[in-house]
Amino acid sequence: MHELTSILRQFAVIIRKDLTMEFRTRDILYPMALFSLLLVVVFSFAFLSDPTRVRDYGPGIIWVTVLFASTVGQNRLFDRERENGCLWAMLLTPASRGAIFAAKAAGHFMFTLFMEVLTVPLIILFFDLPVPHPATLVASLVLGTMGLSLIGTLFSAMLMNARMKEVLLPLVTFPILMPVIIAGVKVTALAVGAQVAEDASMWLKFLLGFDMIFGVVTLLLFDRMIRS
Amino acid sequence: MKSDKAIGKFGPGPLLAILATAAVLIALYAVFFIAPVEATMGIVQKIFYFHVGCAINMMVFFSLCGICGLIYLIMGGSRGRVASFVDALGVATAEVGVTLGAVVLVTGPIWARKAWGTWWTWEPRLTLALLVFLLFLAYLALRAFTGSERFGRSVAAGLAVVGLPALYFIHFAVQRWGGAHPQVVYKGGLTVPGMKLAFFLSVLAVMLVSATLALIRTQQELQARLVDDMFLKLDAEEWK
Amino acid sequence: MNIFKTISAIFAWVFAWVVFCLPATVLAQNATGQGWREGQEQIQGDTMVVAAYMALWLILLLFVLRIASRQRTLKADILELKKKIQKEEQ
Repeated sequence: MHELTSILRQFAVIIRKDLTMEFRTRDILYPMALFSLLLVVVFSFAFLSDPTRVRDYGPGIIWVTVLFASTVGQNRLFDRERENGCLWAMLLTPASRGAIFAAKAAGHFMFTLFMEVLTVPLIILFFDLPVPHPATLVASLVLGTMGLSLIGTLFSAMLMNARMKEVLLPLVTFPILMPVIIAGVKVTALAVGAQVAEDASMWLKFLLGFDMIFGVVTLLLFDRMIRS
Repeated sequence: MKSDKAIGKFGPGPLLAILATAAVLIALYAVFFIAPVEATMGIVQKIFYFHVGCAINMMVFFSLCGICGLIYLIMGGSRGRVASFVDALGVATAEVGVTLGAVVLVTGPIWARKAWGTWWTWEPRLTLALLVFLLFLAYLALRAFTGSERFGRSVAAGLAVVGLPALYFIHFAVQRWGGAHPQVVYKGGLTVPGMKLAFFLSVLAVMLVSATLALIRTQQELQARLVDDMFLKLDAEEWK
Repeated sequence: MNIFKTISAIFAWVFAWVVFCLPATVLAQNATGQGWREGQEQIQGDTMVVAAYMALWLILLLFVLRIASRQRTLKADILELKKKIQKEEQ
């Protein structure tokens, strides 16, 4: 019990540190938000504006924006730690590695969610996308982003010092994240009222399963991989 | 010198290579002369024997690669013999798997063009093969770009390990992604004994060929590392 | 504590797999569909079979050639190493 509370405290401390730094410098949020804003503008010119078909490509636009913006966030996530060797200092403290990883992933999760709060309403506005089931949309974004954050944080931590990190990271994470994109697009399509044969709960459960399994796998792997 | 012998060591490679060649010849004979021409699909169905053989072996080798990564990570990236063997085997299996994947992705469309009238369709099995192929292509890219330091090895091993559960998810997602139109089934199956024989022989032949290639690559990788290590040692001695 | 963690992780993994992923296997078994559909393709079936098998052996040949080129580099490296060792011994 004591161990658990201490892990939770470590988690809270690291998160608070990240959020404070982010609030002061806005190193991650600014690039992410600006990039996704630009993406939305590009998308609105890239697709012929046919209001009857907006339900077909709307979910895709939302998820491509989320995926790209979260990749930008992943690239920046450990930059601060790399620049002054902070991650190694953090690993030297008695803090549990699980707590470090969870805090980093949670930070990325929050930044991406914040970006989504800005962008998704904008997409809905620009494309005049009807949303009959807003709760489903929110659930899909939250669960999907969690999956993106888990995988992204693991590999961005691992590739922190790699050459060509910016190229390698999406190369490595995109194939693994494809199920999240498939499920996310499906649920979002249901949320905007497109004609899809399945029900949303199956895909939401699928996303939950993805988050659960990769939550465990990435936690264990982070511990193992950081050792070498 | 002791390591000189290790460099020139003659493994079970040649024996396996002979076996593989024989198996390929027998399998080809079975495919083209024993198995009858399929009634509905005609002669194109003969592509299917080696195509599916490659697909099955691709999955087998990718799973092996994931297991190698798991063992490597469990050993904590030690510099021991087992760790470096497992790591070299991981590279070799991934390379062979990607080669088989390329075969699958080239022969598949040729068959599909005749069978379904289209080169490519986003059908679950094709999608799965493509995504898995991309995943392990990323594994090889990671190895190429992060070099052979321990850090690069463990990241690649981690990717292979994450790839294992990801396979289940990709499989599930692409199964349902197509919606209510699951298309593929090799209709009729393999009812004729000649066809079954040809199919199992070709799976076996592809397996032997890929095992030979993987073995050679593993040995090569281990030797290359040995040579690298000796160069480093020599340099270190020179500096003294 | 570590063993406990590992076991619970494996348990969670298996549980989640059974709940969320097992249906896929069942689904795959149920996936019966149209199967054969005569395409509009006019190329002869024989040509396609030949093309497919050529592609197969070509890809494998490329892989073998790559192995061979690596082997050549390796041999050159070994030669250099031996020379270096001899120099060192002298």
